[in-house]
Amino acid sequence: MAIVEVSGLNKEFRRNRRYQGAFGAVRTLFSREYTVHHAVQDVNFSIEEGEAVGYVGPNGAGKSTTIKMLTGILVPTSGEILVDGRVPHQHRQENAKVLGAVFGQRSQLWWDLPVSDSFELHQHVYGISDDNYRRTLGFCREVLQLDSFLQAPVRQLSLGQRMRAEMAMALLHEPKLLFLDEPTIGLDVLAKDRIREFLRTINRERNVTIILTTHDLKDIEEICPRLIMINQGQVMFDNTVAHLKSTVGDEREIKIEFVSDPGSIELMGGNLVRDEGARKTIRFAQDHGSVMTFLSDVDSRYPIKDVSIEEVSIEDVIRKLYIQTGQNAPDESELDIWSRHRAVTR
Amino acid sequence: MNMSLFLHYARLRMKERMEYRAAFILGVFAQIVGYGATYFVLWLTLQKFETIGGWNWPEIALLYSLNVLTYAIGAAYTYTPMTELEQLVQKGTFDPVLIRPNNPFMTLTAQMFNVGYLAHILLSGGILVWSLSRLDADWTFGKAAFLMISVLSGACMHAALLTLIGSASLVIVRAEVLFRFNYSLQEFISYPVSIFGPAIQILLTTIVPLAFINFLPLALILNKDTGIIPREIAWLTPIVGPVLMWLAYRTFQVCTNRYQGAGG
Amino acid sequence: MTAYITYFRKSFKKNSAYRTTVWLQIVASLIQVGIQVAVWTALIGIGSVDGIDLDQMITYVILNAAMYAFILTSLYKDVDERLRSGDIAIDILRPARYPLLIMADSLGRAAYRMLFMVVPIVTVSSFLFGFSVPASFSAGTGFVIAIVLSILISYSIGYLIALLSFWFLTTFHFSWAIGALTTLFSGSFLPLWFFPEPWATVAKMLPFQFLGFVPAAAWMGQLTGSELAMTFVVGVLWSAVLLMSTQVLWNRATRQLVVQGG
Repeated sequence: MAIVEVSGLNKEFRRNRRYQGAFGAVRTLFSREYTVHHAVQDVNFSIEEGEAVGYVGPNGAGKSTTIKMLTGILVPTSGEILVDGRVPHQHRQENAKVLGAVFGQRSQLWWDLPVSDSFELHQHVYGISDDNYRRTLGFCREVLQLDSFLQAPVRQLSLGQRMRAEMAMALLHEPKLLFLDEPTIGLDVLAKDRIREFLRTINRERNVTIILTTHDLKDIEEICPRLIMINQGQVMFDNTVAHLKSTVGDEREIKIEFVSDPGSIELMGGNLVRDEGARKTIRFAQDHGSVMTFLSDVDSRYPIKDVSIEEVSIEDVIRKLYIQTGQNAPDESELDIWSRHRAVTR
Repeated sequence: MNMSLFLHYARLRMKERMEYRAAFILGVFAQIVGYGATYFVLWLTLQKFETIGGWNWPEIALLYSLNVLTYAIGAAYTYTPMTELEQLVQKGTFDPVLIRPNNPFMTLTAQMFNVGYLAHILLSGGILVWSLSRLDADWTFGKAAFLMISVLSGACMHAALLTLIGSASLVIVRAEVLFRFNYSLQEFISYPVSIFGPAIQILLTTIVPLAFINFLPLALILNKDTGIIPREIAWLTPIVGPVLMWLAYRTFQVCTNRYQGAGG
Repeated sequence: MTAYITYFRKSFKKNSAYRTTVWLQIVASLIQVGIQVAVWTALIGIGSVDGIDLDQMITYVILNAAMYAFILTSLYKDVDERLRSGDIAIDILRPARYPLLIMADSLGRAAYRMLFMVVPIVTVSSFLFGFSVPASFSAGTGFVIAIVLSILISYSIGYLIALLSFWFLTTFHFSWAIGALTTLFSGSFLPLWFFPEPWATVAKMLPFQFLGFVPAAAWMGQLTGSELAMTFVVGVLWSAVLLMSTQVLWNRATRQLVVQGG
C-alpha cells in the first residue's frame, strides 16, 4: 500500500509588497500587491511502505517545500497529498504520531540538558507507553551506540553524537515514515557511515519508510534504491539509482598515459576531458562499444604506457542533470534557538 | 496538551536554568531589586502625600502587585515565544512545533516557558500578601474567590496582549515597537484609573481593557471610587481575560495559517 | 577629530533609518507625560506642597521626558554586542580611541533624539499641559552645565556596564541593578525635594540625580547659588571617578584581548 501519494501538487508563494514609511505597516496589511513564486509545480509520485527514497535537487528547487507539505507544515496551493491515508495539513496532529522528522541543521534536543531528558519529554509528548519506550530506546541505544553520552548535556556532544541522538529521538514513537533533511551535513566520514548504516537497518529490518533530502549523493547511493530529483519545482527524474546511471550516465572516465605525446588524436566515440600532453583523460560512453575495444584501438595507433578506468560518480551524473542552478553550501546551522533566549525577561 | 505535560516542560526549563545556577539566582536577585526600586519610589511618594486618588500605600502596593503578578504569570509562557515568533518562523524553527501531536500554540508556549519570571512572582506575590494583611476589607469567601479568579483573568489579559502583538509581527514590519508601546500603556494601571480624564477611563475599560487587570476588581473588593465607570462593570473581570485570550489565540491561528499558506 | 565627527554623523544617519517607529515612540512618551501629569494633579491638585505647585511639577515632568535624549546609559547594548561577537578586536585596531568613538556614536543618537523626539514631545506637551521657560539666565546656564554632567555620567555608567560584560559575559544583571538605582535616585518620577530623610541626603550624594533631577531643578530655579555649586562639585567628582574606572577597566580588557589574540 502506498504510504505517500502525491498528485498534481503545486505550491505558490505570494509575497506581499511591504511598505516603508510612517504608515507602511498599515498599508502592508491592506496591500493587494504581491509577487508569485512557483516553488513546486505539478509534482506527482507515490511511495510504498518500506521504501527508501532520496529526494534531491539544487538549493531552491522545492525540496523542503515538498517535505513541509508532506508533513503538513505547509498547505498546498493545489493538488493532493495523502500520507498514511490522511491529508497532512488537515490531520497534522494525528499524522504527527506516524511520522518522525530529523532536521540536520535544527536541533530538537535540549541544548543544556542530558540527552535522556529530551527523550523522556518525547515519550511524554507522544504518549508512548513505558514498555514500548524501553523497547525502542533499547534498540536505538544498541544500534546507535548511545550509551556513552546518554547522560551528557547536548552542548557537550560532537556533531556526530548529536545526530545519532536526533535520529533516536525521531524514532522513539515508532513512526512508519521518517523524514530526514540533510542528516549527514557537516559530519566526518566515520560518523556519516554510522548514520547511513543505521538508516539502512531501520529501513530493512523495521520496515520504516524513509524520505531523505541531501546534498551528499553518497547518502543516496548507500541508503536509497530510489531517487526523485526535482529542479525548479518540477520532477526531473524518478526511478532507481541504477537506472539513472544506465540511462543518463553510463560513462567511464579513462586516464591514458601514452609512451610519448601523440599530439591531437582521433577518439572514436570518446570525449577528451583533459589534455596534459602525454597524459589524457577521456570520457567514453558505454553504448559506443566496449571500453576494451576502444583502448586496443587507441593503443594500436598511439602506444599506451598506463591506463586507469573509473566509473563516473553519481554526483557527476546528477550535476549533469541540474547544470542550470549552482549548488551552494547550505545555510548556517541554527542551533537550539529555544535555549538561546531563555535568560531574557522583562 | 495536558497539565502534566506542561509541567514536564516547565520542569525541564527549570532544570536547564539550574545548569547555570549562579547566573539564575543573580538574575532573580537583580530583577527583585529592579522591581523593588519601583515599589520603593511609590512608597516614598506615599510617605509624602499619603494617598493617590484616595488609595493609601498598602492599597497602591496591592494595585501595583496585582499588575506585576498577573503580568509575570502571563509573560512566563508568552513573552519569549511571542517576542521571538517572527524569527522562529523565518528561520524554520517553528516547523518542528507544527509536527508535534499537540496544539502548536500550547507546544510553543510550553516549550519556551520562561522560569525567569520567578523573581517577579516572588516579589509581587510577597507584597500582595503583605498588603492584603494590612487592609481591613471584610474578607468573605466570595471576595477571596473573586480576587483569585481576577489573578487568573489578569494573567490571561497580559498573555493575550503579548500574543496579539507577537502574531501581528508575522504580518506587519517592525512590530517590536508595539511591545514597547504595550509597556508604556501598562503605566496607566500602576495608579488608580479614576485619576485620569474621562476619555482615558473609557479607553481603559473598552478598547484597551487594562483596567480589568487590577483597578476594577480591586475597586470592587475595596469599595473604591471608580470614576465615571459604573462599578458593576468590574463583575465582568472573570470573563474579560478568557475572552481576550481566546481572541488572541484565534489571531495567532490566523497569522500562523498565513505562514502555512492556508486559504491563499 | 574627523574620525569622531564621521562617527557622529554616521550614528545620526543610522538612527534616521528607524524613522518608521519614531512616531510611535513619541506617542509613548506623550502617554508617559500625560500619566505623570494626571498623577501630580491627583497628588497636588490646587495649591502647593512645600512651595511647589502643579504647574511647576508639569514643567518638571516634561523636562524629565526630554532627558531621554541626554541619558546615554543604553549604549551598553551596542558595546556588549561587539564584545561578545569579537568585533571589538577590529575597533581596538582603529587609529581612533575606541571610548571616544563610542561617545561620538552615542552623541549622534542623542542629537537625533533631540531633534526628532524631544522637540516634538516638548512642543506637544507644552501645548497640552503648559511649560515654563528657565527661571532666569543663570538657571538656563545651570541647566546647560547640568546636561553636560548628565551626558558624562550616563555615558560612563553605560560604558561600565558594557565593560563588565567582558568578564561576566552578560549585561543582564548589571543593567537591571543600574536601572533600579536610576529609578530610585534619579528623581525622574519623585523629585528629590519631596524625598523624606534620610533618603534625600543619600540621593544627593549619588550620581543618579544627574539623570533626571538636577537638570530639571536647575532649569526651574529650584537649585541655585551655593546649593547648585555643591551639586556640581558632586557631579564633577562622580564624573571623574566613573570615567577613570572605565579607563582602568578598558585597559584591562584590551590587554586581555591582546593576550588572547582577539
